[in-house]
Amino acid sequence: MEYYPHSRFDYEHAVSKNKLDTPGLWRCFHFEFQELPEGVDIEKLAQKIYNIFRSLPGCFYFDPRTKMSVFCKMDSTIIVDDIVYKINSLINADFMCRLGEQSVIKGGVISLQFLFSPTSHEQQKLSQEFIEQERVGRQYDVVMVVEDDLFSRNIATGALKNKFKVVEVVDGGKAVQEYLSHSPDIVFLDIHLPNKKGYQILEEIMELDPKAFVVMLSADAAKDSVTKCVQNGAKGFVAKPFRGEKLFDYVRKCPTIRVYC
Amino acid sequence: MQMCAGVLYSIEVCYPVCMEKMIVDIEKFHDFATSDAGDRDKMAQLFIDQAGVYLQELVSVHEYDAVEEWREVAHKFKGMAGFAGAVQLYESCYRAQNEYDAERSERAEILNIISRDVDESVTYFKTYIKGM
Repeated sequence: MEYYPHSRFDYEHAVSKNKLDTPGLWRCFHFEFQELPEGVDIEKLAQKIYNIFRSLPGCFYFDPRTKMSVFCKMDSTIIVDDIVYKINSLINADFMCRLGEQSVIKGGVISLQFLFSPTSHEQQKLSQEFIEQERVGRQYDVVMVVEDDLFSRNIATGALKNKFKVVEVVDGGKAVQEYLSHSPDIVFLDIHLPNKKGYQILEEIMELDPKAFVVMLSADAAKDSVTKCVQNGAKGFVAKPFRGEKLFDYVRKCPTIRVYC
Repeated sequence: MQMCAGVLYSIEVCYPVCMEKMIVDIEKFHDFATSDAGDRDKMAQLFIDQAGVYLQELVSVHEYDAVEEWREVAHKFKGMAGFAGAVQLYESCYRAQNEYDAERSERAEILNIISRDVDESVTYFKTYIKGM
């Protein structure tokens, strides 16, 4: 993440250069990039954004030192969302602009923080590449078990732990984050979880990694549940209670698992 | 209703119904747990501990009349009971999960049944750990 120090300093710098010496309402647009992937030419992206600001009425000064702040004098009301929309329509579709929470009004200066980050499409591409590299690069297979009931989790991990590295996740809200941290070969995912349901976790994982091998676990093996999960990309459904062997049926089908079982 | 030594008695009709009552289907437990005896004992102990935790959670959500939480705890409890082969407890948790929006008094009744089933299955697993 690149961070550019903000606006009061930039404003003073601009005043000292006698650029902001006329009365009226001043706006300082400050923008910064967040979580951009490596290899992105920030200078080029910044140039595009300068050009957008240049097209705004009343805009006449770019801070040459930080190259990340734009000062405008505009007496008419501006609609911030329109600016965000305009930026999003002009910059590369791989990136997205949004208004940051640090937008402030201080003195005569309105300071707007625009944040740029990869779009979900770009994020998906990057995370998928990352996950695949992780899997190829390691010497062992990883199985993730997302299950909030300790007893059920122990049954599953007890069956798997001798052959694989088993990552246990209890909180549904942390499942996607753990998926990205461990790049598991296969995930056994309970449906009823605290903070986030298994259906939603499945959707999010599949969005990040369409090749994910996710098998749902649930005591509610209703036809609707099974169909819904399979339609959303799950590779299978195991009804609880299950035997450890049932899990291995799916492990054997997982294309990235290398251990013979 | 009164339970006695594996036979179900009905006070109302004052004679034994002679239903065979299975508290824990140990074959199921062995099926789902690992084949290692030490691991099985650990799982049995885990059941004893967790059953107390879940029962306490159910009591707590019942006190606050939190029906959605009641359903979730009952569902989780049912899952564990299924793995442990605790058939009576499984059935009472199944009922608790499905009748989560029943009258408070009905849920209190279900809670009593669950409490009884917990006592019986915990006693069973304590004996199991000691070597039957």
